[in-house]
Amino acid sequence: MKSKRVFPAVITVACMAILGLMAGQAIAADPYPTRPIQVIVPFPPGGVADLVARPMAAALEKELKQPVVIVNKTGAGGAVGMQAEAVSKPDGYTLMVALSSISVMPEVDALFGRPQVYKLRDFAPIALLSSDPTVLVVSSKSPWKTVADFVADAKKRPGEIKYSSSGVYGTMHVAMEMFAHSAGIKLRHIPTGGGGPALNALLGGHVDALSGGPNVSIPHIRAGTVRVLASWGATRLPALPEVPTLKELGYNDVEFYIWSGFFAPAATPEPIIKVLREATAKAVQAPDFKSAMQKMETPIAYKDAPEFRKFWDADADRLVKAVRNIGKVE
Amino acid sequence: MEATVANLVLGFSTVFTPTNMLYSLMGCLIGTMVGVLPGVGPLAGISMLLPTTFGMDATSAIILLAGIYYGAMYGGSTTSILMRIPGEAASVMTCIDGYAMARKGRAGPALAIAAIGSYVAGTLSIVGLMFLAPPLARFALSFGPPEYVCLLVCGLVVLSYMTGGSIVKNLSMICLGLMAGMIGIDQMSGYFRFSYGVTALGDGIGVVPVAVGLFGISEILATAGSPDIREVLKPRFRDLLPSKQEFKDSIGPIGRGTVLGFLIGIIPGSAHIISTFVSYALERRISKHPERFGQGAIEGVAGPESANNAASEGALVPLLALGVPTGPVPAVLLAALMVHGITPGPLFIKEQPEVFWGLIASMYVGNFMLLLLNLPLVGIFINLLRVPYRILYPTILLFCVVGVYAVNSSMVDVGIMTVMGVLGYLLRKMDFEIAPLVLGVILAPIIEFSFRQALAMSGGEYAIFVERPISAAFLALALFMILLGLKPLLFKSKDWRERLTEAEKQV
Amino acid sequence: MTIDRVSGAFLVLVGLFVVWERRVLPLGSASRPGPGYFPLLLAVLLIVLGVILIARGKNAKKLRSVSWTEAPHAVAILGCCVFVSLLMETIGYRLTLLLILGFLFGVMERIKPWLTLVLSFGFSLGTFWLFDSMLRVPLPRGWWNF
Repeated sequence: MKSKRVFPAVITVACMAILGLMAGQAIAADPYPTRPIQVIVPFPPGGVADLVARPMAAALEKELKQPVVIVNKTGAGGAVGMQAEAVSKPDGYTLMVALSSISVMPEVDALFGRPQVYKLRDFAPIALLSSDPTVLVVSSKSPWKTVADFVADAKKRPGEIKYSSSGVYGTMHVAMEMFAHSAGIKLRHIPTGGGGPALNALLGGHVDALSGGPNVSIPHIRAGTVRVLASWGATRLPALPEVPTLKELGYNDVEFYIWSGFFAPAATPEPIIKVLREATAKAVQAPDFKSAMQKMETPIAYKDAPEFRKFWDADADRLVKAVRNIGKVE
Repeated sequence: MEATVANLVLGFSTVFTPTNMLYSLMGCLIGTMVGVLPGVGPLAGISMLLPTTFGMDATSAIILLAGIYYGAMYGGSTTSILMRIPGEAASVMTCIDGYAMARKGRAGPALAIAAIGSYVAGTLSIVGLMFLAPPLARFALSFGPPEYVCLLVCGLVVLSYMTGGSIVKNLSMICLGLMAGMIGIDQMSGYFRFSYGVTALGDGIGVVPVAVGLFGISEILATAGSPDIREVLKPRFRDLLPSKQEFKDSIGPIGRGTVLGFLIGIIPGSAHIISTFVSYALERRISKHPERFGQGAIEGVAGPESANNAASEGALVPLLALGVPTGPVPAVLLAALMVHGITPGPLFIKEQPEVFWGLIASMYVGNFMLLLLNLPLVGIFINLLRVPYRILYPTILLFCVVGVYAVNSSMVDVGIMTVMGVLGYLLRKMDFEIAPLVLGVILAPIIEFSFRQALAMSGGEYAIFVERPISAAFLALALFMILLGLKPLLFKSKDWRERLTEAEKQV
Repeated sequence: MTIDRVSGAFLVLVGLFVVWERRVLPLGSASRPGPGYFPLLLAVLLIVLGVILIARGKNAKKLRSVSWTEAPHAVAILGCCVFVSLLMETIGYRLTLLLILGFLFGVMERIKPWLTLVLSFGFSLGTFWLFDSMLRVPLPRGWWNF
């Protein structure tokens, strides 16, 4: 009966294999990184965060000499992935690329009286990667040629002009409401399931306007199906130099960016963060990364951790104020 | 017409290079693999391979990724037929009759018809895509929330024909499914509903854990310990191919499924899963022997499989013609194009004809490759059925767990799958149909959200549903179908359901 | 006691649960439905359907006639699923699945020990390699990174 001899042999081999695997992991204690790094992207594949994260992961891999793997953990407008990052082990092997909506979630929770899914100080910023101001886009069939036309019309019929957004308290919603508040007008908000459906709603004529990311709008602008009236930036967009900023037009407190940033859990040790900061600084210079971002018409807006933190704090203040002004929608 | 032919020639010349043929083959292979694995769908496959395409030429990249996309639709039917586990949500309907056919030893014909139907549907849809893309896309865009609601109401009425058995039980399953689909964030107001602080439930229960759990896990639970020894079938070669009768029976469903799937697929929103449900219901309704459905009717495989392939091709129409993605997977394809510096938009077809026509040509080639791939694979897959079930099912369980986990890297999904498995098991014992439940989960967010969006658009006026031509048309259709169903009550002739129950009693 | 009556009662209970739980959600109105509107509608519908089932349930299959012969086996498999759901992220994919497969093959199905070991190790380590290393879909590792 062969099985009598085979059986102990198989057991021995199996045990040795397991011990070997475990020992291998334990011995490689330092330096960081010694095994694959996971980067959580709290949004579905193909979205802004994902599109920035993937070329960056590829470039980082070359710097850190370890695989950098993207993990899409979607849900609740990004809250699922962000919460997962907030509670993950601060050993530098679980990082995150998130969008500006990170600053909005805890405030919305507070608004609804829910326990906050995470706090902003649960995250240590590593670097800012990209930062696009949103743009005001209207259908080319509409009568408004400038922001002044738009505002005047809105004042004449409050609550009649419809705009779409990617979801309640999402980037497109908060941006538009920030502007509406500053201009003293009332618009009608039609939330949709995401940036794509929001744009579809405008193209199909079901809504009249929206505030969205420039790179998805540019092809339609060029084709003439939509018109862009203004941008939410502090300075004009290089891709659309004739488009005025809302700040120029007199709405001083209106600034909104869809930015993507690279984060680690707050308790991550300083030496590891330093390694990551240096690697990211080199990664954004890599030609592959640059060309990928250029093809997506997303300008690289790199800021190292200290400047990023300043930028983030100021941006978070603006967003929190805007959310408070919106209040509860229903 | 000549322009189209010239363009096609251009496209084929782009495709028939060794590199592009290789990429097309790779895409189809990976797509089939990804489709076979339960849970992991084309979305995961495409996003996994996206980084590797960065260095590639744009046309080659899109050929590869698109191959994964429609390849997955071919693979999804395999596990549905062999093990009653939906490869992805669109394969749920195939589980019903496909698996029944497998139990009767007709797994080979089922797999073969699924592959053939998918090929016909895929190829015909490409023709539609080629000629009709721009006008169809504009039509698709005019579908706003009110049109959606009326379309789905129509769909719900059709779907009451989907399964036999008591109307009350079916309705309660749809109801339960709709309620389950409402768990999570309410997109109109930001409130969390029924999620009890579990953030992962914020987006609701996903369709994948529900489908895999209700169909697959419940099947394992019910069969694993069952004393009836499942025969290990030793299929002969003759059994691998469909009989002449089966071929004849499939022609109609394939044709109808193609048209239905394509039209539903072009509509933005993940409505394309619904195409399989509607196709099944339609085939059942017009069949002369509706009692065969559920017991292994080939029409129940041919129709839905063709519909889901046609729908996935149709979903590309707005993407390519206008740069408008109809759902998460076309959105990733859009992103892939953007990463390669191509921004699909209304000018895409004019400005980048090599990419567009290269893609079209590659789709013809890819569909054909998939047919060639899948038919012999039928023989290989059938051999899986020879493995004794006691060894097979733990492996199936493993793949379900991995597949469901891999969708969103979420253990909560695995938990949901387990709960749904228990629910499915209990429901089977109590004689309830589970397909309507899955449908409810899929439809709930769309129907409720669109309804409230429509009301927000109109400022609270219900008139919007009848003011807009398309939605009014669908409403009228739904009304007509309801009246048709009520006819027997008025004219005292035997309802088709009563005839069905009588026929079932005699079987 | 027929299956229809039992399931009808279950449906009514679910409906009542939803009606109770949705108190926290604002109802809105018919022209501006709030988050609680549709759940309430559906719950009421479900209760109605459940009551109909109970009322007409006299002629359905008797509860006692439902066969539960495979239930113990099913419970064991269910236990495995629950084990996986709760513990996979703590003790890692490979170990969890090793244990589960070993249990199912060895204990439940009484397959020869050597075959059990080969299959359990083969599948748990093999699928991990396939997904984690080849396809780059990370699977959970336990606290000692296995």
